[in-house]
Amino acid sequence: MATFDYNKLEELLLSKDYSELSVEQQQWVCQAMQPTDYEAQRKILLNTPTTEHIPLPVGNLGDLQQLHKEHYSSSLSVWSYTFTLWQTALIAVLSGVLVYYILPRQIPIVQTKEIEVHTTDTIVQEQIIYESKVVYEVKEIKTPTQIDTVYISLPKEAPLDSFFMQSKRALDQKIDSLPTKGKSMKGRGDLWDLMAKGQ
Amino acid sequence: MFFKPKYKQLTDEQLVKRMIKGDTKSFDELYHRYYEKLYYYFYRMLGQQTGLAADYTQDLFVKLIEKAITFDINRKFSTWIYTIANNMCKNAYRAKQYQKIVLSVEEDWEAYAALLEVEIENTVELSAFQQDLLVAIEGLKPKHKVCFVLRYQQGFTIKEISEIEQVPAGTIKSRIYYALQQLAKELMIYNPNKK
Repeated sequence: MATFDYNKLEELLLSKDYSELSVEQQQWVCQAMQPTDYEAQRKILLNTPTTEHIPLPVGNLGDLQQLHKEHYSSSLSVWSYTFTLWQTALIAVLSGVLVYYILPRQIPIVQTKEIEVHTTDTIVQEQIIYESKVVYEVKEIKTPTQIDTVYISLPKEAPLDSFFMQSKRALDQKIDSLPTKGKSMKGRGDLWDLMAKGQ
Repeated sequence: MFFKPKYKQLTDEQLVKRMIKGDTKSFDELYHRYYEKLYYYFYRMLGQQTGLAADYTQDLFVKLIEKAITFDINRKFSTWIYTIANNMCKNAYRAKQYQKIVLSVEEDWEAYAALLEVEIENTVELSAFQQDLLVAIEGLKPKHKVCFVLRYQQGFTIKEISEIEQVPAGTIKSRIYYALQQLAKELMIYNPNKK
């Protein structure tokens, strides 16, 4: 048997009687067995029932199905559900309608625009102006007064014309009220002459 | 998955894959494909006891549910499930859970059937030679019987039996050849030309 090809023997057993074998095949078979053994084995193989002779008992499929459900309960159950063709078509239509109404019609385009931001704060600028006003506001020029000097305080915000008119009137009044000393100046004309000459 | 799958067109391996994902109908299809074959395998291997064969078949499907996750999808499902069945039979032999019925072909078929508690009316019509052949198969050694049954009753190839039995293919061929010789010897009365 060690050098015997069982596959070849089996093929012959299942296909041909010993009398149907060629001379070469008969010689090959006879190396392993007698022709009567060949016939006996062929009869066994051809008559081996492929189905048993007893009735099949009813199996308990229900318990097994229950066990299967319990064992694979955590699994996704979509596999156990099947869709017919019309159900599939209905799902497809409903999905299309849903997408049409829910999703936005126009997709917004995001644009980016560079905007130059001024770092200078206007409030700070105003504050600077305010401070400059303060500086001039506190500026005060003090002039030493002389007997012949008329100190006229200048109102800060008075119009220039009215200022000079008022100053002229006030000067006239002062001059009129001053006592004369040295060269007398009897009139306004003398005073103006004096001023013109630089005396 | 949106169309109703034709389970009968799916392969065993595809059914196992779906079964693991919770598809009960895939399990049902596997059950219907293998219940009869496995029942008769256990019946033949465990002393032709119907009750024991039914219990073992049920236990095997329980094992299928529990162990399906370990099934290698690249392997053939039929050899995998029969490997489990074969191991169950070996365990039964070790535990001596079945009582081997020793008969000779000279005994009456009706007595044989009565011993096995088989109803003659419901049995498949068998010729006298076939009846005696079944008795002779029962008398084989387990390691020879399993090879013969898997090859000529269950229709497995030598290579598949080699995977199920986990022995080399040459050993399987030797065992089958030996089994054939034994059966021919047992059934010698049907061979009048034998000297």
